[in-house]
Amino acid sequence: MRSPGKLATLSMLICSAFALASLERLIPNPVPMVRFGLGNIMTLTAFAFFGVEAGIWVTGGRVALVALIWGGILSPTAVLSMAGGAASLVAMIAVMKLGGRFSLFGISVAGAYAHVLAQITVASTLYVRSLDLFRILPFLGATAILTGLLNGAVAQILVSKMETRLKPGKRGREPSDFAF
Amino acid sequence: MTPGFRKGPTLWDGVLITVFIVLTISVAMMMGSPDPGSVLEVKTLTEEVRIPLDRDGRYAVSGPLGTAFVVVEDGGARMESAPCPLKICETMGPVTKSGQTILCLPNRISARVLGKVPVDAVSR
Repeated sequence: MRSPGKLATLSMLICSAFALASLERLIPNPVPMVRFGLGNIMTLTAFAFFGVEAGIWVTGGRVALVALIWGGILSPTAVLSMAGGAASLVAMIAVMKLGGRFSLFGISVAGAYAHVLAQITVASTLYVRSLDLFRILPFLGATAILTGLLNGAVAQILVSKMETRLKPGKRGREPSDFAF
Repeated sequence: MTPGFRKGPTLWDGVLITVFIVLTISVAMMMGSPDPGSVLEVKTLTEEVRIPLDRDGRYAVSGPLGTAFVVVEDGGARMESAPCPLKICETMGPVTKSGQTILCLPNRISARVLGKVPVDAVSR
């Protein structure tokens, strides 16, 4: 279960997710409140390779690292980011549990939409105390569908590239199986 | 792939995405078109003030991070300068129509445009 190769791959995924999330914070954002959610690509990859538990680790690790390094753990930004992360995990796992009918595209879009929905809900109950924020749901929802599709496409490309380089479980789980 | 997902967008992905698109459009339709606003309602952690939008002016609003300046001109309002780190609120204006809101989460300031008759049914 906890082979060195899996542990290393999982750590790499968490670090990549953190790096992508950081990159997203650093580049100037033309439209306020719109995020690509690039970190989710790594969660999707973890889902594809190791299953549900690994995906939870990657999202949890990313959110924790971002909160620790970029801003206070209980700052509104971090709270919103945790709510979004948790909701998108729940949605993505729910979609996966529906059976093998969905690809990474559907899972990614479900996660992105749930993220937006959760953030608007939490922001309006905790910080704004009015329902006005739901007025931006159509705009953010449409953006979520687009970014979800994009992230799903990138994750699928990444997964197929990685599959050809590391094949867990083919000849047992030797470290050499994970060599890049 | 260990747990194994289908490759490429499947039919079910399409169904799921259609559901989301329908949800998005129906929320947009429910909102309707907003009427022009007349009053700006500014809320901070401690106070709540209403500023008429038909009179130009510059107002100081204080939050936990410091003082932000709200500017009212040409029937709209915008956040002119804010002490928050990301300055997202400065890019959210100007707001002119009823229901439009400028938010500054770090500084805990929200400024919402109210319509001709400020009905406050939804806010607590």
